[in-house]
Amino acid sequence: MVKLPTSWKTIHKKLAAAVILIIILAALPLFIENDYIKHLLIMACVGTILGMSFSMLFSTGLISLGAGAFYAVGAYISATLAMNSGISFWLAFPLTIIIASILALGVGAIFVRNGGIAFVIITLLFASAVVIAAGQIEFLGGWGGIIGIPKPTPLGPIQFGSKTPYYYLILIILLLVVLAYYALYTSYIGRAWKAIKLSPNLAGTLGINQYNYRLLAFTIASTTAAAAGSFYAHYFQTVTPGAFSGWLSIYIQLYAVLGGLEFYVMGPAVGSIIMTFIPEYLRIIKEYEPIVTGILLLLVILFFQGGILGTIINAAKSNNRNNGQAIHSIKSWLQKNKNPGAGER
Amino acid sequence: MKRAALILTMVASILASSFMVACSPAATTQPAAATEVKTLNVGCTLPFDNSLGMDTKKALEMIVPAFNAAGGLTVKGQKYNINLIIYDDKYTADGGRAAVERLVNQDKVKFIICQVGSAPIVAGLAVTEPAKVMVLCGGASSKIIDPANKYVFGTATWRTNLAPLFPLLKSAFPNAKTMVNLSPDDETGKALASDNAKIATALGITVLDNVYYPRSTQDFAPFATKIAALKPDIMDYPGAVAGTQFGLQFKALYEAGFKGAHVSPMPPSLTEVLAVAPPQSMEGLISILPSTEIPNPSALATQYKQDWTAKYGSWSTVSLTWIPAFYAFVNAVQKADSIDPEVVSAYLSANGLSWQSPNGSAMLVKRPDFKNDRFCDTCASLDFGIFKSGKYEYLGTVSADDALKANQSAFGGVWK
Amino acid sequence: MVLGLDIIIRGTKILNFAHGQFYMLGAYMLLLLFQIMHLDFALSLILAGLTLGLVGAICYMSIFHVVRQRFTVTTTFSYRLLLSAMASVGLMMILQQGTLLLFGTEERGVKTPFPQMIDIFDVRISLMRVIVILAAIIICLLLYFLMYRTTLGKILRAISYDPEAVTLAGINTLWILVFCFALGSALAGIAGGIIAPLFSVTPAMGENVIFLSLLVLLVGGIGSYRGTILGGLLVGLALSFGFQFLGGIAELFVFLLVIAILSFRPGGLLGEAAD
Repeated sequence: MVKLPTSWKTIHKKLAAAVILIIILAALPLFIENDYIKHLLIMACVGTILGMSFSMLFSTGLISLGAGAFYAVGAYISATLAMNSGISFWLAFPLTIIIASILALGVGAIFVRNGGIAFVIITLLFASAVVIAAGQIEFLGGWGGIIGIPKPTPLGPIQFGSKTPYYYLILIILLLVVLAYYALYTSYIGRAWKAIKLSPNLAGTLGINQYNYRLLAFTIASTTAAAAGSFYAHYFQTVTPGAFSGWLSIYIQLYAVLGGLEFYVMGPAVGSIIMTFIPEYLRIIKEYEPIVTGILLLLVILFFQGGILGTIINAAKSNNRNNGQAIHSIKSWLQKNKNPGAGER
Repeated sequence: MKRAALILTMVASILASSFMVACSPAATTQPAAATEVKTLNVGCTLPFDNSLGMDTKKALEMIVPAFNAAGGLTVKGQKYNINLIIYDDKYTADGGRAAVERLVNQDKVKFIICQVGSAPIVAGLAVTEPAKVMVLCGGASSKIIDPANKYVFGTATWRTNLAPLFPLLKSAFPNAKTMVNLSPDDETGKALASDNAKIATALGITVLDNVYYPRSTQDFAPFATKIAALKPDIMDYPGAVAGTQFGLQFKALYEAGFKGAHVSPMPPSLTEVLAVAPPQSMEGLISILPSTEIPNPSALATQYKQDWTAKYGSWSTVSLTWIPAFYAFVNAVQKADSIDPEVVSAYLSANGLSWQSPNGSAMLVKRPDFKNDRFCDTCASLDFGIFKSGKYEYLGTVSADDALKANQSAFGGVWK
Repeated sequence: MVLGLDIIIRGTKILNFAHGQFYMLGAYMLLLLFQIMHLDFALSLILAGLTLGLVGAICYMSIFHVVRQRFTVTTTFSYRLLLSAMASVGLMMILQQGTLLLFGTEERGVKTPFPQMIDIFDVRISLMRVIVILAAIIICLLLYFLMYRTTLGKILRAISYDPEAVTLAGINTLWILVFCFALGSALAGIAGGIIAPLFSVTPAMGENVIFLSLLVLLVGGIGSYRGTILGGLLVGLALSFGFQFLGGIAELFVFLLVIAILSFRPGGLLGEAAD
C-alpha cells in the first residue's frame, strides 16, 4: 500500500531508492547488447503501465477486464492518425491521449454505473467489441490490421533504428506515468478511492461521490492504457485486431495480481517482468509451456497471497515470530491435504 | 530477516536464471558429424495448438535430419548441416513477433522458413526486413508480396491457384451458371472471395452472393438456410480452413437441402471433415488433391509418404501443405551459392527459382498486378480431384507453366 | 452451459474462466465414451456430466477452496473475486494445454446418433438439433425444480445471499459450495457432450464459448435463473438473425445492444444489480 511518508527520513529513503532504481534502469542498455532481451524489457515496461492502469481501477474496488480495450483503442487511434494524416509519433501520441480520454469518459459514464461482477464482464465484452470493430471496419485495416506504421521521426540526433531509443522512450513514458499516479494516490483523490474500495457506503456518508471518483479513475486508467497502445503501435509498426483479444486483458490483471495488488507501481512491474520473461524462458520446453505457466500461476495465487512483493514484505515483518507467510501457507495446505476427503490433488 | 532474504534470493534467482537462459542459445546444437561440417541455424515459427502447425513441425523434424544425413548443404565447397529452431507463434501477431524477435536477435538466424499463419508472418516482417533476414513462408495474405518488402518470398500457392482451378470446374460442370461464396469474415476470406468472383464472372458464372461467417463459427445452419434459398449451382469456399469447420459447412448445407457442386482450392483434411460430416455431403467437391494421392505420384511424394507413415503411423495430408518452403530454401542457397541472406534474396529477386518438392514442381513468379516486379510469389504444379461416391477421383494436373499462363491471363501483366 | 456458469457465479462468487474448458472436456468425454468405447449415447452423456462434476469438485477443493481459506473478514469483495478469477485462469491454461497434449491437435467429430432429418412446415431440421433443444428444455425444468421446489435449492439460493447466515443455521457450507461448483461443471460437461455431435470437438472450443456465455449471463442478469434462459434465447436469436441480414458486423451490434441494455438496467433484464 502506498503509505504517506511519515517522516522526512522515510522520504529520503524512498527517494534514494527510486533514484538508484532509475539509474539502474537507465544504465541497463549499456550492459545488455542482446536486442531480444531489450525487446522483452520494452514489453515488460508496456506491461507495467497496463498493470498499473488496472491497479488504479482496482484501488477503487473495480475490476476491469477492459484495459486491453483501451490499449487497442490507443494503438488504433495512433496508427490511423499516423497513416492517414501523416503526422509523426510526437504529435500522434498526445492526440491519442486526448481522444482516448474523451472516449473513456463517455464509455466510463455508462460502465461505472455497474459494480462487481457485472462491471468485470461488461468491460470484458467491451474489449471483445473493440476487437470486432477493428476487424470489421475496413477503414481500420480489417482483420489483417494496419502495417507499415511509421517509426517515431528522429529527435535531433536520436534515430529510432535500434531497440535502445525505444527502451528509453518507454522508460520515460513509464516514469511520467509513475509520477502522475504517485501524485494521485497520495492526494485527496487517492485516499477517496481507497475509502470507496474499503467501504462504498461509508465513503458515501463522508461525502465522497462514488460514481464521480470511480469515473475519474476509469478515465485516467483507460487513458494510460491508450498511451501504452500508442507506443506499441509505433514500436511494432503493425497492429492487428487479434493482438488485443480478451485474453490480453486477463494477462494484464495477472501482472498486477502476481506482483502484489497492494503495490501500485512495483507490483505490476514485478508481475510483468515475470510474465514476460518466464514464458520466454520456458520456450525451450515448447508445447509444455502453457501448463508450466498455469501451474506457476496457481502456486503463486495459492501460496503468495498478496502477490510476490506482499509475501516478501510480510515475511520480513513477521520474521521475528518465525512465521513466513509463504512457508506457513504451504505447510498448512499440505496438512489440509492429508485430511481425508480434501481432494486427490 | 532470514526468511525474507531467502524468498528474495529465490525470486532473484528465478529472474536471473530466466535472463541467463533467455541469453543462451535455445535449441541444442547438433554435434558436427565431421570436423569440416558447419552448422547453419535456420528459424521457423509455427502454431503449436493446431494441426497445421503440429503436422508441419513433425514433417520438418522428419525431413531436416534426413536432409542432413544425406549430406546437407554444400555452399562454396563448405558443407553445412541445417539446425532448425522451431518456436510457437500461437497463430497470433504478438506470438509471431516475439518468436521472430527471439530467432533474429537471440539465435541470430539469417533465414526463416515454413511459417504458416498470415498474422505471425506479417507481424514478423517488421523485424526481419530491417535485419535483412530472408523469409520463405506460406500464408495467404497479399501483404507478404507487398512491393515494400525485399527479403520475403511466398512459397504457398494460395494467391495463384484459383486461375487454373476454375476452367477445370467449368469443364466438369458445363451447365453450372450460379455460385455463392462462403468465406471467413477476415482479410484473407474477403480478398480470396473477390478474386474468386472475378475469375468466375469471367467464365460466365454469376456470383449470387458472398456470405461471410465469423472465424470461430461452429453453427452453420443459419448460413446454410440462407444459401440453400438462393439455389446456387456451385458452392465456393474461399479461405476456408481445412479442418472440421470445413466439414461443418458441408454438413449444414447438406442438411439444408443444397445439392449442387462444391469448389475449393484448399484440399479438406479428409479424416477431420469426415469425422463431422457424412460423405454424401461432400459429393461433387472439386479441390486440389494432395500430390501423394494421385494415380502415379512422383518419387519424392512416394518417399515422403513412406517416411511419414514409418515414423508417425497415421498419414496426414495436411503435413504436405507447408513444407515446399524448405525445399525452396535448400535450392535457393545452393543456386546462389551463398549463405548470406542478402546475396540469396538478391539472386532470387532477380533470377527466380524452380524447385521440386513432394508437392510437385514450383517456381517463383513476379506479381505485376501488385506492382511487385521482383520474383516474390509462387506458381506450382497443381493436382486436382473430385470427390465422388465417398472418395476422391483424380481429375488432372496443371503444370507450373500452365498455372502461370492461367494467372497471367486472369490478372494481367508478365509474371516471368 | 450458461446455467452452469450462473450457478457457479451466484453460489460461490467465483468468476470461473475455466468453465469453457469444462465444456470442452465434456465434449471429449463424450467422444471417448460414445465414439471410442461405443456406449449408449444417453449413458455417455450422463457419465460425461458425472465425470465433469467430479473434476469440478476436485478443482474446487484443491484450488478455489484453498484460495477462499486465505480470505479474512477484511478481504474486500473485489479482491476475493479477482483472486479466484485468476486461479481459474491458471486452471484454464493447464486444462487447455493438457487436453491438447493428451488428445492431439487433430480436430474430432462425434458421429451423430440421430442422423434423420425432419420437415416442419418446409423447414428442414436435423433430428439431432431437435433433441438438443428438447434436452435443454428438460435440463432447464429439472434445474427449476431443484432450485425452487427442494430444500437444497433453498439453501443454494440462501447461500448466494448470505453465506455466513447459512453457516449459522447449522448447514455445512463447504459441501454446498462444492456441490454448486460440481453442478455447474457437470452442466458445462453435459452441454459440451450434447453439442459434440452437432459441431466439432477441438481443444479450442472452450475458449470460443466462454465469452458468449458471459454475454448471455449478463443480458439476462446474474443470479436470475429465468433471466439466463431469456438472455440465452435473445442473444442466440439476435446473433443468427443478425448474421443473416447484416453479416459479420452483427456481433458488434449485439455487443452494443448489451451495453445499451446494461446502461438502462444495470442488473440485466431480470436480475437485481449485483455488487
